[in-house]
Amino acid sequence: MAFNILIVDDSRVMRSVIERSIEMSGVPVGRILMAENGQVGLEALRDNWVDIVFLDVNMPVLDGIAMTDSMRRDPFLKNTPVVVVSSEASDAKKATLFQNGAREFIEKPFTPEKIREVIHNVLGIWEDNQGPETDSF
Amino acid sequence: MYSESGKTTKAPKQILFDTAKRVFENAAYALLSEEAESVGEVMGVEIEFSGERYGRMRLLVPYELAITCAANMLGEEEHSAAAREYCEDALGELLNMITGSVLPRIFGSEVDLHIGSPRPTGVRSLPLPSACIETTLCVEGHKVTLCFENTRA
Repeated sequence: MAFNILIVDDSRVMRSVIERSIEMSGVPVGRILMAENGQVGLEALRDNWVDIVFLDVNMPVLDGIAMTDSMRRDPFLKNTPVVVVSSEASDAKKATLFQNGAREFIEKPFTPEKIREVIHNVLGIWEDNQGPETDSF
Repeated sequence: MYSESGKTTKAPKQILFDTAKRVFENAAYALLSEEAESVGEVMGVEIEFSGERYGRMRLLVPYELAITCAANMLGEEEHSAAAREYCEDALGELLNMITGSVLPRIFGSEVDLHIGSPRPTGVRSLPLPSACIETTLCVEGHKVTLCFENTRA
């Protein structure tokens, strides 16, 4: 199964870094969409099926905190997993982002292995397509 | 070593060096070298921070190294047009990562800070303020200078 991914970051360079890390992580990727701010990111989410969002915090027009807040209030977007990718690690901003529904926080710089680990955790992917252990009946 | 607040007990200069090394290696795929061969034209970026603490970080990098870093980060050929066009963006992002990592280690993760956007800074010989901490690295044969200035509490 391939996953559609949205990258939201105002830096062209960082969007490329994140894209390449995702490709190097080995996670099966369908489409990778890009947005330069939260406003464009919301438009991309409303027009496309996205399995996971990688989101920067500090952006012009609409920042990461405002975007997650908008997603939380939208019944069609509130369950879309968001992974925050940021240079800032202040406790206050992290708390706000997690309250708005962000699932994970990755501090820049990061490795492809970290990206893989986070995608697996957020999307609940198990190795060899095995699900969680269940009771037998 | 870390205190309960996440503030490291390492000296700030060592924090700057270790963080810059990690960022250049992991984000720009640029490795530290033994010596710097030449300086050439240098470009600089700075980031101001504010909130419970005020100050700025400044990064000075030879132009050739900035292009190399941009190319590596973009996945482009070293002297591609895109690498030249986005080398300032790349430098800003590297300083952004360094700043975001350094400040909690110096001030503690509970300190609320706003980190500004990176902007170009004039490259000139400035007398360093007494509150400025500077470290230098040799990256891919180029001299890199990182400055941390805490202006007031």
